[in-house]
Amino acid sequence: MSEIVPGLYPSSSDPLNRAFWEQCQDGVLRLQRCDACGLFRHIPRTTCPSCGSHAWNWTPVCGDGTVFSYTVIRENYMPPFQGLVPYVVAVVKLTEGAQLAAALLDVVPEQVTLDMPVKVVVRDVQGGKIPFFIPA
Amino acid sequence: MPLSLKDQAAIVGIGETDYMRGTKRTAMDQMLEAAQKAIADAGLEPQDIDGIIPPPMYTIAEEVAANLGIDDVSFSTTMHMGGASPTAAIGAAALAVATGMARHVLIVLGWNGFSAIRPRPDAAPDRPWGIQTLMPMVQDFYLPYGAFMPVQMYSWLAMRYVKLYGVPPEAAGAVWVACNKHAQLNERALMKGKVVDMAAYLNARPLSDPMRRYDACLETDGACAVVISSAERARDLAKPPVYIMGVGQGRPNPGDDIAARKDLLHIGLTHGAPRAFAMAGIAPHDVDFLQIYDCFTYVVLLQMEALGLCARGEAQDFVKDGAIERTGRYPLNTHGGLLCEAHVWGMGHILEATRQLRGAAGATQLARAEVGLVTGWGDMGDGSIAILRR
Repeated sequence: MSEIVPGLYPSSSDPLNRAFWEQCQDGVLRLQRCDACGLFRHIPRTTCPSCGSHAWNWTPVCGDGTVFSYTVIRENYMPPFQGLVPYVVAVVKLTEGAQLAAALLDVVPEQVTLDMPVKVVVRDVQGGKIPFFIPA
Repeated sequence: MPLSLKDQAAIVGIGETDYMRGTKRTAMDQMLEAAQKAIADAGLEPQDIDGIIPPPMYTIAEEVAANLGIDDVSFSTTMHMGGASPTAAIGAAALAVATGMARHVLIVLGWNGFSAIRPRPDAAPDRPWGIQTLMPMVQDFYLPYGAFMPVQMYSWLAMRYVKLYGVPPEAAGAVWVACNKHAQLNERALMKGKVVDMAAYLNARPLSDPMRRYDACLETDGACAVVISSAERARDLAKPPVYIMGVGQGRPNPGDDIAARKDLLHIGLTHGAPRAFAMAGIAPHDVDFLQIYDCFTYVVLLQMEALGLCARGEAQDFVKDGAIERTGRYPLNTHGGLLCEAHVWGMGHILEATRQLRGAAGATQLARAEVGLVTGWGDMGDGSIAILRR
């Protein structure tokens, strides 16, 4: 681990949620993509909310997106986040249309704006690798 | 013609414990005290209660009935909407008493929101929380990035709102100031005697941009209860009935994940409020007061817009110039709200609305209190509303 980043690998009890994080371990962000209608979706769902299909595959995304919203967390008593404030956690809208929550790295909190272009980076955290976003 | 619930049911009894920051009492113990008081307030005996709506996670109808000595429970349900649950429960209770499934429904909720949520060395042991749908989503997708407290998740809504509409911090501050001023009149309010003005609000420490310390509500221990009966039975009971004119609930899409929403400002109440006003047959501007769920100031602004009191982005004007203080047109949270009275999942809002409409609010009584509304907000933005009249 080259730097301390605001992240923690989750220990999920849900098989589908756990699979999402497991398939990031080769450094590639993949989301569920509906086999029937092609919709990318996140968080993981059993069926496609658009067409109802139960068929899907983890499919790589290009990793580009924009900041849909964000917050600068300035107080947090839980390790490892305790010593990392302030840090930015954004809602990122991917080019593929799906949206996900993730921390932004390599940003000055005061310079983050809505619609700012970002791109994915997968980094090591305690317990495994998870995706983050940096300015594009 | 479909049946209408309008005016078919009424709130007939209310009860509450002291609100505390630190207690050795279990949540169950407090809930039973509140329940007994609410039943007595209605002029009823526990055996008269045949419907029970317990809170999610803390108890079940069977346990409440066993403790209260109720031997026949004909109706029970639980609303799983976090802080929106109590106000949603009013609608469920009204359905039950209007259709004859129950005669008198007890809604009860209590928790040790101060003593049991964060580990405290002097806290008395209480039972663990039960299962709920919210936590797995938070733990699996937000907690990995250190965003797991409501103040952090809701700040995604608040930040987009603030940036899109140029909302100044003074707009959220106006919500705080109104609740803080109103709490000064309420003996039960934990912030009574603690005046925090706009300057102090603006200077308070930041928690999660754009939220500051006083954008967040109190953490408290306590319990409240409400009894609901059919309108017909209500007229024979001890206190003036407070009639339920309209109820509604709604959920954002998706309701269990904030990040996936195409419109972060489309909240549960956006769906629920028009349903309630249609049932009540009145417009948002017809109400005399607002008891709006205020876990955070910014979600009050979002709810004002969802209620139709003003257009999207315009709550910043709606709250100006004291309009939401008790001397203004739309008094907000006349008891002080979750921000300044206590946080019992919005049950306090229902109790205060009832007191106002009975004309029994004491020092917080408004000169005009014919019709009022109560909202609930819970989990990731679920919404509920009850429109009440004297």
